[in-house]
Amino acid sequence: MKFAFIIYRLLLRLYPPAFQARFSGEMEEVFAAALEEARLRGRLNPTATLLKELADLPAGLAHTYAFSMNSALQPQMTPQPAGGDSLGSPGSPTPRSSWLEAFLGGLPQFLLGLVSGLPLLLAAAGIGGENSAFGVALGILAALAVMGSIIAYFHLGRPRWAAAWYLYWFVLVMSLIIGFFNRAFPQLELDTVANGPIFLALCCLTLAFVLYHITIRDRLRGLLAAVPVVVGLWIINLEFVPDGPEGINWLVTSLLAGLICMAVLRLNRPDHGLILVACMAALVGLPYSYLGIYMGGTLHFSEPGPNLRAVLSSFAPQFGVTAALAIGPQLAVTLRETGRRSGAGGKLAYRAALLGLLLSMAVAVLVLISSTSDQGRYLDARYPFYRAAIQITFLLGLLLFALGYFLLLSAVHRSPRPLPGAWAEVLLFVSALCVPFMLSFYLYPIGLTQTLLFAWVPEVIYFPESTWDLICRYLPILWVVVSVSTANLWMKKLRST
Amino acid sequence: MNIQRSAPLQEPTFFILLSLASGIKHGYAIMKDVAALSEGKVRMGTGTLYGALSRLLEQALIERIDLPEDNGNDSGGRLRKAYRLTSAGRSLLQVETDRMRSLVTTASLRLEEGNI
Repeated sequence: MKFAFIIYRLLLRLYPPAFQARFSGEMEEVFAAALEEARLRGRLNPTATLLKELADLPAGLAHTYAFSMNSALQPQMTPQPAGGDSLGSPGSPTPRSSWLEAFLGGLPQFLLGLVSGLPLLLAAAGIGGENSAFGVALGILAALAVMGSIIAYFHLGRPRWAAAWYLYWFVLVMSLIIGFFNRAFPQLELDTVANGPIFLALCCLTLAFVLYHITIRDRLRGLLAAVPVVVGLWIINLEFVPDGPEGINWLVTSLLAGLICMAVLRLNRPDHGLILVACMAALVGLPYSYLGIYMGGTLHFSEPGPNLRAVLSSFAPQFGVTAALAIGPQLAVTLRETGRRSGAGGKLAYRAALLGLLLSMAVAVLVLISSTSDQGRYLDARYPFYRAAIQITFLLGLLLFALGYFLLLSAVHRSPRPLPGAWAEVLLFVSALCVPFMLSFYLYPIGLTQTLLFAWVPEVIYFPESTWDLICRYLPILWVVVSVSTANLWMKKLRST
Repeated sequence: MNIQRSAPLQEPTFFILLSLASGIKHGYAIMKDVAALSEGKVRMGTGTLYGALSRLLEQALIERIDLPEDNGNDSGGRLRKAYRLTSAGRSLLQVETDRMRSLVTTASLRLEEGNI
């Protein structure tokens, strides 16, 4: 009976802290009374009472967490004052994470490296196949860690380190949903839908939207949530790379990404964090590009052979896209914070600017995904209306952004709070405008002018193909440097005024 | 809270409110009373019970009070948490009962029509 009571007390610790503080004493009393009554009925009854509690636990926990989450969401809806918590400055109300918290922030990346890298290394060494029992055990361990992180998130009051786990929660939930529907309703062919371009494009836009909203709450969380996506986008380079180098690459790059997450949490500075995450995108991406060009079959047929120039050509556009995932939300939040300090006109203007960017990004992503899928046939010359509609929508999005930005600056200049100055305003405009372009650059080495969005450009302005080549190779790198500096400059100015 | 919108109630919530309609009770008494009221069909664990009580407290349908322990022993004046229905909770229970009564009446009429 005492043992049952100890187990019960341990189980109570799974409930949210506020709930525990309020009810755990009472719950222990009720359970003790139930145990006592059960004991009077027979020797085995206390065990049955404990088992009944165990059976009741998942539903009780789910209801309690759902309710506490629902209640907790209310304050999140409250708009923050401009220059408030989301800036996460050294003087921000959120204290610096401890080493343990920083480790928990890096843990998903460390686990990813182990789960993906170790079985490959063992397979390369001839010890078990890729789907060996060891690999399966690691996978189960990782799934348990993900579920544990969800419980810890609510249990510990939504800590900052948990942002590094968000993507894995999404993957777990989506896998469960798709797995369930595949079993329950095989006629729906959800796998096919999930691999379709529209669904994937919607996923990308949802991701952009979610990252933006996380960044509104807290810039550091936005960076942490972007890290796994930044790392994940490089995976396409590894498709044909042999097990050994792929395994080593997984271990090294995941370790690096995990350490960067830890550093971001420990530094507690979004400006430094942004620099670190951008550097991480480069450091993680280089080995992927190298392996892809030398061993993975990503060398374009127009290149003479694997060399470092080809590696750079492959690396730069992907670097632009991956870094955009971390930089884009920071720029968007900068626009938002600038707009919100400039009255109703500023608010409307920043929303128009962001809507324009989202529209262009939507088109860029749809083209990107369509061109690599069966539905890509709509992009060829047989469908001129479809092509023209896509190109016009992309340009309309950019125009809407430009108009919104112009109105935003007008509103800001009318307000009494000064801004960084003309150069900073131009840099922010260019940096934000380039985000949809970065997504388009991802199509290189297909050739930028061969892609749908820019097919009209050679008819308007003549550039030799070598110029496009140079643009694709160096512009993303230049953009990352400029936009990180711009985001940090604005962050500093918004904080100080 | 909007009483009309809160109905229909979930079964455990309904039985908890019904149990408290007859007077103040502490957690274990509610648990046993619910099992008795439902003829053993609804047997709540402590997690479900206190999850429901927490929601009902938040919605101000019940309130929590301290009662001196009354077990016939010398309890040293120890206070025990107990729960009492609020007027909003009683109104909600009344609305739910009326709804169920109306449903039963309609169902009975339909069944009688079918028998004619």
